[in-house]
Amino acid sequence: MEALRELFRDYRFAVGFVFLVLLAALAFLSFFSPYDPVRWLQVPRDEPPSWKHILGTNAKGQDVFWEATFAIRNSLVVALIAGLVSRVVAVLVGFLAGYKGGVVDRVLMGVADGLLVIPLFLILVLVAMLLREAMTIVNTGLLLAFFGWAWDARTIRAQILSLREREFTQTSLLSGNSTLSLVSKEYVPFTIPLIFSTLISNIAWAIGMEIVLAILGLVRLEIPTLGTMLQWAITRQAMLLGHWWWIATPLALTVILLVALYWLSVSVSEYLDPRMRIQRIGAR
Amino acid sequence: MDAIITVENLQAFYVLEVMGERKVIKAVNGVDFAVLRDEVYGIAGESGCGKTTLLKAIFAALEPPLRIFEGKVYYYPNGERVDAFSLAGEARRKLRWTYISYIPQGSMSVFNPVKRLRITFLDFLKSHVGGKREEELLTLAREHLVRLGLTPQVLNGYPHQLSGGMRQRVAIALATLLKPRVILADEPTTALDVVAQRAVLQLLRDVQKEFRSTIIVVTHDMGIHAQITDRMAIMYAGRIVEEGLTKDIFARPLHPYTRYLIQSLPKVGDKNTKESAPGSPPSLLYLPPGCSFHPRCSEVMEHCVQEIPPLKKINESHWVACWMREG
Amino acid sequence: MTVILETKGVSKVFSLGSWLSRVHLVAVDRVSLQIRQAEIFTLAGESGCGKTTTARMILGFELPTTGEIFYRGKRIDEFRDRKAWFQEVQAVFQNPFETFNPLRKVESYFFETVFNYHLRKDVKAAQALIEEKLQAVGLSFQDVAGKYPAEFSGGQLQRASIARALLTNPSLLVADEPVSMVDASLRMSIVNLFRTLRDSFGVSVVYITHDLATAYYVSDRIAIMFRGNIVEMGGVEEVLGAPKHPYTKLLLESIPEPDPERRQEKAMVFLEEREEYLRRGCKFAGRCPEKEEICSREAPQEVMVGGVFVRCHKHAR
Ligand SMILES: Nc1ncnc2c1ncn2[C@@H]1O[C@H](COP(=O)(O)OP(=O)(O)OP(=O)(O)O)[C@@H](O)[C@H]1O
Ligand SMILES: Nc1ncnc2c1ncn2[C@@H]1O[C@H](COP(=O)(O)OP(=O)(O)OP(=O)(O)O)[C@@H](O)[C@H]1O
Ligand SMILES: [Mg+2]
Ligand SMILES: [Mg+2]
Repeated sequence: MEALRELFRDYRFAVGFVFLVLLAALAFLSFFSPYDPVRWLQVPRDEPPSWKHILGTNAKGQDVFWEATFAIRNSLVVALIAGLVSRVVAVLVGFLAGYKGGVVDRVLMGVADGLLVIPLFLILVLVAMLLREAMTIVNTGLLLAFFGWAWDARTIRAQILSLREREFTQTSLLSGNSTLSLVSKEYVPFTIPLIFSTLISNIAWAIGMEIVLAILGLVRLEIPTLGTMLQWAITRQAMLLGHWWWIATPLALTVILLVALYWLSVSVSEYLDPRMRIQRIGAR
Repeated sequence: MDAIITVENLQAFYVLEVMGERKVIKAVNGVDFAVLRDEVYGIAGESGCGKTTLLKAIFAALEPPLRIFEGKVYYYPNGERVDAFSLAGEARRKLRWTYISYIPQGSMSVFNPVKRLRITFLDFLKSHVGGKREEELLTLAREHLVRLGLTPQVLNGYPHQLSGGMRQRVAIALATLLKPRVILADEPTTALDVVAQRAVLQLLRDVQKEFRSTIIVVTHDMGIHAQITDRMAIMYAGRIVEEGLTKDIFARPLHPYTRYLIQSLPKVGDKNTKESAPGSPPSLLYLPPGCSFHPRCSEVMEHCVQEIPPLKKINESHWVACWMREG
Repeated sequence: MTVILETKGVSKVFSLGSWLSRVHLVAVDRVSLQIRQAEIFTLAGESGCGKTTTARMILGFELPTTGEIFYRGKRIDEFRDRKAWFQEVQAVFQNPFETFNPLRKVESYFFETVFNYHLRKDVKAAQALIEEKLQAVGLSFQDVAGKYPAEFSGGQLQRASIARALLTNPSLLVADEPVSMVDASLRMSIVNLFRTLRDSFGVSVVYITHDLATAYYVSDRIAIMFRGNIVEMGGVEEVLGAPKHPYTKLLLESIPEPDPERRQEKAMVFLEEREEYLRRGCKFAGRCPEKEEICSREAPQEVMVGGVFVRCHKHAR
C-alpha cells in the first residue's frame, strides 16, 4: 500500500495506470455486449459514428465499439498469457542456471541461445502458417511465450550469478537457510525489478507481435483482436473508402495501450531499482 | 593561523521514522575544531561514535536521513571562506575532488562490480578533467598507480578479482588522482596488512609533503595515529572529548576514555590480560545524561551525571572535556 | 590435544582472463595445517596472500583445486547436511558491509539462525538469546532492531556479525578480520571474548588478522602466509618472539608502533603481484634482504626448526 502511494506520486505511473484501468474496463464491458462478436450482419454495414453506434459499424455488419471491447479483451489475454508464461519459464531457467551452474547451466543456456540465434520472426511466421487453424487466443499466447523467454532468462541468470558471489549469500547459508529460502529471500528482491520491467515490455512485444501476425493473416481472423480489427480494416480498404473509424479505433487503442505500458514499466523499474530502494529505506 | 577547514558547533543527526515513531540518532553532537594547512589531523574513537558521519558532514555529502541541525563547515579555497553547506551545483562540483576529496570507509566495495576498473577510472577522469583524449587520461591513471606502488595492470581487471587489500589501495589511488588540497581518509588502512599499511602511510606522507595538502585521517588504529598524525582528536558518542598534539595524547592522556584506549593497546611480547573499558558504548539514540562516558568511568562524580563537560583548554594545544580537569 | 580440523596440501588455483589469454593464479599453494580443540589459531600475512580463500575452503564455500580437508577425521565434502555442518562451524566475514543483504533487515538473519537451527521456540525466547549474544559484543537488541545494514557503522556490523555466528554455539569459529573496524578498547573486549569461548567452552577459533599485536595477545599458534604458502607456523611466542623467516621479520618491523616518538619513515619498495606468483624459486626472493643464490632457483621445502615450521633455504641446512 505504502509502495502504491509512492508510485502514484509519479505522474507516469498514475497516467499509465489510469489508461490501463480504462482499457481493462473496456475489455470488461465486452461481457455485456448486446452483440455476438463473430456473427455477421447484426447491424447495418459501413455506418459512420452516430448515437446508436458511437464508433460506427464495419463491413461485416458489426458495431465497432462493441467489437473493440472484445478486441481489447482478447489482445490483453494473448499478451498476458505470453508475458506470464514466458516470465515463469525465464525465471525458472534463469534462477536454476545461475544458482546451480555447471552442467545444468550449460544445457539451459544452450537451449536459450538456440532460440536466440534462429531468425525468430521467420519461425514464428512458419509455425503460425502451419498451425493457422489452431491459432486461437490461448495458442497464440503460448506460441509467443515460447519465443519470449530466452533473452530474459539470460539476463536473470547473469544477475543471479553476480549475487551468488556476494558474501551475504554465505551469511544466509550460515544462518541455516535452505536453497529455496536463500533464493526467495536474498535474490528475489534484487530480481523483481528486472522481472517486472521485462514482464511489461514482453506484454508490449506480444501485443505488437499479435498485430503483425494478424495483419499477415496468420491467426484466426474471425476472432476479434486489435490485430484482426486492423487486418479487416486494411483488407476492406478503409482508407480508400474514407471509413476512418475502422482504422482509428484499433489504432488508438493500441497506441494508448503501448504508451501506458511503457510509462508503467519506466516508473516501476525506477521505483524498484535496488540502489534507489536503499536510498529510500535510508530516507524513512 | 592558516586554517583549511573549520567546523563550528556541528550537529549532524540521523532522523528516522520507525513505525510512526521519530528517532533521532545524534551521531555528531556539537563538534568544534579547525584543521590547519599542511598538517595531518587524526580522529580516533569508539566504533559507531560518529566519525564517518563527521567526515560526511565535512564533505557536505548530506543524504537523508542525515541532517545538519546546527553549525557550519567552512572551506578556504584561495584564501576566501566558503560555507560548505551553501555550495551547490557547479560550485560544489568544482571543489569536490580538487579541493577536498573523500576516501570512504569500506571503499573496496564502492567500485561498480560489473565494470572494469579502467572504465571506473576513465569515467572519473572524464567528468573532472576536460579536453583530453582517452589515451592521455589512461596514461595519467597508470602513472598515478605506479607512483603508489601498484601495478597498472589492475586497470584491466574487475574489482572482485582483487583481494580486499588491493581494492582499498586502488580506491585510495582513485581519490587522490586530482591532487586535492584536503584529503578525508576514512579508515584508509583497515583492510591492509602491516606492510601495505606502511606503504599507504608512506604514500599519504608523500602526497602531503609534495602538494602540501592536508590530510584528515579517521581510524581507530592508534598505531596509525602515532605514526602519521601531528594533532589528533578523540571522539566519544558524537563529541570530541580530547584534542591535542599526538605526542601529548599518547604521553599524557587526560580523558579517562583516552586512557583506556592507550592502555589497552597490545604489544607483541605481552600476553598480560588487558583491561578494556567496562560496559559498552551508549546507543546514540538514548544518550545518558551529563557526560556520556560517565556510566563507564571509574572516576565518576556527581557533577558528571548532571551536566555535559565542555571542551576546556589545558594548555596551548591540549583540550579536554572532563569535569575532573575543571579548576 | 585432539585435532578438529586438518587441511592436507590444499591448493586453490583461479583462472583469470578470457580463454585466449588465460592466467592461472595460485591463490593458495599446498597449505597443510591443523587446528586443535580449544585453541585460537591465527592466520596472518600480506593482503591477497590467500587467507580468505583458505577460510572459504575450510567452510566449504570453495572447493580446493587439490588437497583434502578433514573435520574431526571426516572429509568435509562428506558432510551432506549443510545445516548440520554450519551448526558446528560458523564464520564472520571480512567485509562487514557485504555480510548482510542491503535490502534486508539485519535482525532477520538473527531470527533465521535461531529458528532454522531450532535454538528457541518462540519469538520472545529467541529475542532473549539474541540479546545475550549481542550483549557479549557490546551491542543490544535495541541497536539492531528494525535497521538495514546501511544504517550501521562498520564496527557495529562486525560486532553484529560475530554475535550472529555465536548463536549456534559452534565448535569452530572462522573469523576473517572480525575486529578490523573497532577501536582498541572494544577490540580487546572481543578478543577477550574469544579467550573465554576457548577456555570455558572449548571453542576453536581461526582468527585471521593483520593485527599481530592482538594475534600475539590472544592466540596459541600462528601461521604466517605469503603468496599462497605458509612460510612459518608454530607457537605464537616462538614465531613472533623469535621470527625465523625473513618475511615474518619484515612483518614485525612494519607494525605501526603506537608510539609517536618512534616513527618508521623509511620508504619501502613493492613488487608486482603476478610476476612473483609465477616465479620459480622462493616467492619472497624478490624482496628478501637475506636472499642467496639458491633462492631464485629453487623453491624451499618446509622444515621443522625447534618446533616451528619454516619454509626458507636458510633454515633448510
Ligand atoms: N544511514 C544511517 N541511518 C541511520 N543511522 C545511521 C546511518 N549511518 C550511521 N548511522 C548511525 O550513526 C552512528 C554513527 O555512525 P558512523 O558511521 O558515523 O560511526 P563511526 O564512528 O564511523 O563508526 P565505525 O568506526 O564503526 O565506522 C551509528 O550509531 C550508526 O548506527
Ligand atoms: N574468485 C576469485 N577469482 C579470481 N581470483 C581470486 C578470487 N578470489 C580471490 N582471488 C585472488 O586470490 C588471491 C588471494 O585472495 P584472498 O582474498 O584469499 O586474500 P587475503 O589473504 O584474504 O587478502 P586480504 O588480506 O586482502 O583479505 C588474491 O590475489 C585474489 O586476487
Ligand atoms: Mg566509520
Ligand atoms: Mg581476506
